[in-house]
Amino acid sequence: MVWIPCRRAWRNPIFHGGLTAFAQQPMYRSYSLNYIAALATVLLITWPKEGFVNLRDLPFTYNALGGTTLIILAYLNVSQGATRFLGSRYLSLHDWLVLAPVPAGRFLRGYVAASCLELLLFWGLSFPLLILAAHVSGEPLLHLGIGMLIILVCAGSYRLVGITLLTCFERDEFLLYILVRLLYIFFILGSGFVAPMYNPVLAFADASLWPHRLGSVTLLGLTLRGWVVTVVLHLLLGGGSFIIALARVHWVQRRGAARETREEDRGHG
Amino acid sequence: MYRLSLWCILALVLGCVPGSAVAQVTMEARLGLQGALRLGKWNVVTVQVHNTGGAVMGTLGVRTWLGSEARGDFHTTAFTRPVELPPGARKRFTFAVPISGIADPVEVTLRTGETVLAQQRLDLHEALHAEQVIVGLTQDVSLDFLATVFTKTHTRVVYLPPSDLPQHWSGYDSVSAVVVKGVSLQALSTEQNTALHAWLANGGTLIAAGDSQYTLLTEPRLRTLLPVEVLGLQQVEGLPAFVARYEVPFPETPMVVVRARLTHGQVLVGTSEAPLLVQRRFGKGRIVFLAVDYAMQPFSSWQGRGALWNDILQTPENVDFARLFAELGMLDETHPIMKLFGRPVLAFPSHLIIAGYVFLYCGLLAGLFWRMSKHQARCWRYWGGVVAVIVVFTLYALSPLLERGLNQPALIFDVTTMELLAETDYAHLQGHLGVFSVRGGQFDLAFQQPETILRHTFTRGVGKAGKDLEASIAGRFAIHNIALEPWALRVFSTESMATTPVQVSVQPHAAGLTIQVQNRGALPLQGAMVVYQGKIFALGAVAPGEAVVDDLYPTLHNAESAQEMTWRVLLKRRPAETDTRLAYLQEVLLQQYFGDKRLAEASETPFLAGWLLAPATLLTPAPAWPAQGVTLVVSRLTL
Repeated sequence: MVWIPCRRAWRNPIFHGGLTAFAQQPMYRSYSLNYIAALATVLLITWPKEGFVNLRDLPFTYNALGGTTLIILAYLNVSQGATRFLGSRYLSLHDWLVLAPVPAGRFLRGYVAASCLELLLFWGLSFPLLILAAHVSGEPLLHLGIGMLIILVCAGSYRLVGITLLTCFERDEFLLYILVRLLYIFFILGSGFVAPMYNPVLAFADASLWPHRLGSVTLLGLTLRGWVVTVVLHLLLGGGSFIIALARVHWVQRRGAARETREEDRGHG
Repeated sequence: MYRLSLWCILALVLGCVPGSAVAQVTMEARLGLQGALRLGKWNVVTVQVHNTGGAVMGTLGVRTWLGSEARGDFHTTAFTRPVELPPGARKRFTFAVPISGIADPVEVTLRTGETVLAQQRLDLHEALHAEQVIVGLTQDVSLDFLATVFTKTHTRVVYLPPSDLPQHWSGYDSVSAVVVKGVSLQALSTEQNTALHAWLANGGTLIAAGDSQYTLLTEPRLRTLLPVEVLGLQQVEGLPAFVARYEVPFPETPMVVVRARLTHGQVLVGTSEAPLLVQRRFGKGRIVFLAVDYAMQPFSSWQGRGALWNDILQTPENVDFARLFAELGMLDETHPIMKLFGRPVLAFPSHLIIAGYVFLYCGLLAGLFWRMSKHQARCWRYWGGVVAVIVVFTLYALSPLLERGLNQPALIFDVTTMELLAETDYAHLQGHLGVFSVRGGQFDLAFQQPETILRHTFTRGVGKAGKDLEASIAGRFAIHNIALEPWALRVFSTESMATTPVQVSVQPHAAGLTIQVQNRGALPLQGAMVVYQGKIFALGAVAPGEAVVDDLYPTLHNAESAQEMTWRVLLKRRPAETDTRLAYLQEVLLQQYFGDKRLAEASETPFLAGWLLAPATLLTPAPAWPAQGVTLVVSRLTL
């Protein structure tokens, strides 16, 4: 079951090209080193100083590190998703679709899969440090697993949002720049006040030992914990973004084909 | 055929009737010893159950409300025991339960599964409250005057037949003294006799008074307790010794007193050959012998009897500030478990180790990335290296770099002080227990002693604690349903009596002491030492089954600094090979027991101190929640 999408991705020429580009681009290496250094700093600062059990405060290390991971990964994924990572920055989506004559769905799947390699690398790099933090905060491995899932789903959905923005506003770099930052501030900060169920950092804390401030939602007789609702909402956000991006790619492909036909007709005429 | 069908239908109908409908149980519960209650103590609740229906297998429970909403430690404790009631059975069950206030009733419930068969609420407003309860094992009601003797302490006298005496030492918790006159203790059951001895050893007072049936005082059970050997009766002319002591005239009329001879103890009135009032220590309690029949004229109308009974009962007239502070929750912060949580009882990996781990992790990644930039063609190999580094560091982080205590459902601490009670075979255990839930859950605690009293409980921490505790008193004492949210602590203080595992005997001689310590327990007594005249004599470890005899010469030993606190000196001399975290448990126990007394003050009475490096109150709850514990053994040596 898992093998089939992997095999299909491997055979996707866009993913293949993206994988090669990812492996050779030095930018990701320097990003990942900076990322690990930032997380390590947070870990060392919040590491318990002495062996006291502070009865008045819950352990902080795990949530501090998880929150930092989410804050960094959310920004990286919205902004890097909205940045063209294959080919030249002067190459538009239309040019790509002309150069690589693949169906729109295949193109987008390949592009998303290749783009998510960076997310997977960063997600994996934070894993050992989060284990250390969980161990000194009394968090069981179940909480750690849920936390890692929240990070993956939320960061992944932001990556899809970024890609959707790129497909929609690729020519308007200023608008893209503004939208990316506005969306990031909303996801990480604003949603905490306006729609707490949408905030990944609160969801991460909700899935830990900390008090479950997100509460729960009863849907069709099923009571869902706050973090579950956050994951579901982010899956919907990611899915919706993918559909918009797919529609845009289809539209660009169809419009390009129509333009070519018109030009051919004009040439023949 | 029709008849068979009818029988089948009848059997089916009967089979469908729930058990509760068939069971017919009547229940009557009574509070206290003949209705007398002492707040803040454990009181007896007697439940009589009569089953007039089918057989019943159920649970009988007595629920009490304790603590206060203002302090945030309000909770209920249900004391339960399984009951089996065959058809027609009439049984009596006795519970000892803590009662601290009269606002909420005591609830007695008999249930099978979820079905309540009988329930009764005992209104505490209607109970007979007292600050001092005196039990009279007498043939008459001649102790009633005691209710008026103590002006500051509200006293009630309860006359019980010997068969109604508690079977469990906790049943005596509300009792200040037991007066025996003209009644045989031979009729007591073994459990009742053990309970009486345990209560006496733990601070009770037994008064044996003279009576015309003086032979009852020579019966084995009473004879072994009395400080005198009873010889017979004698006629005397007045009681000049009482007049001299209490300075109240006594008519010089002929009267009969019990003739006795001092065996061990202290003569308060009379001489050792003709003692009239004698007392002896029995552990922390006392046994008093009064040669006179207090119910006989002219003694019963003597004006000095108030002073005499004050002498006998030694009722504290002062306000018990310790109890008041405890009730107000002011002592909670000085509880040993709270002190323990002020010590670094966890062992986190150090910053140095973590910094090394992080530098190695970042360094390896940086090295691989650098190699990757140099050898673009082989970059796939280096990416494999990156994955391998992540996997290896993940696995390493999973196993050794963790705090063990925080990676189990609960941290359970048991620090116990075991006081060996001189001249008895009993040890009094004061347990300080803490259940700290890291991740939340429900916990159970099983106790080593079946007769354990739960004195006090409170909670601390970020998480909340459940308010309904259940104490099972069937066989082994256990507390169930300790519900704790993550990062919540529940603290318990317990008391129990046990057969002493260490026997200490001491003989003074001209230059010092000869001490013999015999370890009859299963655990080695470690770091045993005697503090005498400001000096410390190390006896070392006493293995199970072994006895150590030593002569202690204070003049030959250098004194510790008399200005140093006793607990500090004893902490310095604790067994060196112990775990450093265990030292915090030991420190807390020593501080709790000896307070801030200096060595010279503490050693006015010589005492033995040692360690059992294991919990003495709790049984190991479960492999998943190991209890960390240590027991301080203390014995005050009577010379």
